[in-house]
Amino acid sequence: MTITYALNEIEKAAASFAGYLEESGMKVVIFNAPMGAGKTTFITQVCKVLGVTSVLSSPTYAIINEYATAANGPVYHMDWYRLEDEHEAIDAGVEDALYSGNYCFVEWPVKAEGLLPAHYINAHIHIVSETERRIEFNLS
Amino acid sequence: MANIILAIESSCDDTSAAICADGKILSNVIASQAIHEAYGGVVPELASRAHMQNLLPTVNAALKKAETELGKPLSFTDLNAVAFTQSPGLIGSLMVGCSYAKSLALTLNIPLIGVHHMQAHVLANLLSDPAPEFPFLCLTVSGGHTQIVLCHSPLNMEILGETIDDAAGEAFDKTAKLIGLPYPGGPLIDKYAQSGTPKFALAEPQIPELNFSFSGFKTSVMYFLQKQNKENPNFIGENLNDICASIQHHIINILMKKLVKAVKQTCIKNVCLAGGVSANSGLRNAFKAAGEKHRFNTFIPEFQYCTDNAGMIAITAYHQFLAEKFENLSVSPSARAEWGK
Repeated sequence: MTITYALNEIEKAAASFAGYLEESGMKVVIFNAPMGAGKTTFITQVCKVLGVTSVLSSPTYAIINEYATAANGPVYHMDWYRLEDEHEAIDAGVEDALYSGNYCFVEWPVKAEGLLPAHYINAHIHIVSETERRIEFNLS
Repeated sequence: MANIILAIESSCDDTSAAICADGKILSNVIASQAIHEAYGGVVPELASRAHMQNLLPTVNAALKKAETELGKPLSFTDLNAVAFTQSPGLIGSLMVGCSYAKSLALTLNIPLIGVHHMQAHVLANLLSDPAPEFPFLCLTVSGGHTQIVLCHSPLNMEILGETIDDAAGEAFDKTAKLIGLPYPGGPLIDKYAQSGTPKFALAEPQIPELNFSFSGFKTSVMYFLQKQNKENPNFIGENLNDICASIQHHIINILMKKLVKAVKQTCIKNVCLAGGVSANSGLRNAFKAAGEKHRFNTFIPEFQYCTDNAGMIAITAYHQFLAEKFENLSVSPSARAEWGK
């Protein structure tokens, strides 16, 4: 599936994406995109749709951010950019998050792809222009 | 004898141990190559396994150093409390410090103190001489955090503003990556900036109230570089110093605008910096200049208390000790803990 969105309409795109996510029954989503494409920004909006009540921020340094929701369980927002390999990912506790049954959004998944569950949603964000992005996603 | 506290910090990449006696730091040891050489190991890169290897030698080194400072023998049985970083941080890393502190508290039958890492960054300023008087404002800037905190008393703080996406340190490191500097490139930006002039205008985000945003700034740097590279493929190489100076200027400008706004809103005259990014020379200068211009007193902790360190955990634990704010042994660490609301 593909959604093209203007940056000032990102809430709408995030809501459609969250709808797809809930219908699919998938809990883990990986995001591939160059730096500056807006991975954190898009995930932040999706988290808001999912009812996250915590302050959202970039997980680059923390590796795993855990957000509380009003009604559902926690949401995990991860960034594997700083990890060297799967061992470091395991040490950082990413498996606990991935297999918790809660929503997990993973930026820079390439560092530890082997740890991902059998099925997840694979999303790519493309920079169309300074004001426009295109997100493509499918089941893996 | 004084109240002696051992503090452990293991929230992120560095393992650190400190000893404090009646609020005075006797030792503040951060695991380094030297400790590993002394014990015949290597420094692992990241995460909990590294903390497990580092912790005991680091605690021993902290005890030894404190002994020298005290001028008399010091052993575990002299400790009156043990403190650890409870949150926020990497859960696996926090767990190592927490388990160690718990076992020590149980064995020695002494109080256990859980410390919030961000609160500790702020209170690192109490280790300065002179220390700021309460109430004071603190701008905490590090790789993972950017916050303006109003500190009423040691254990009463309020977050006035914080980042809604990337932290300031992350903005330095990621824009450095965009210009091809090795990661983490924040310190390199500072270095090159010193020989450049901030002649390139970059878009600064307009965020309401006292909150920060650096994600959009990072993207505007990316567009700027793409545009310039199209016209001149050697643009970055030919203008590295000026690009770094411009990036640094804008990041600091974003920080200072909000800090000055907070000073004006609160009318507080004592203002502190904290966190690893307070090592940035441009930020230190801009902070002092803002203090002169807007007439507030400026405080910056010694460098060893700016980056992640157990000294700041110890001074915070000392105040919790006085207030008898202890944890029981069932306490667990938390990757993320909201506070100051």
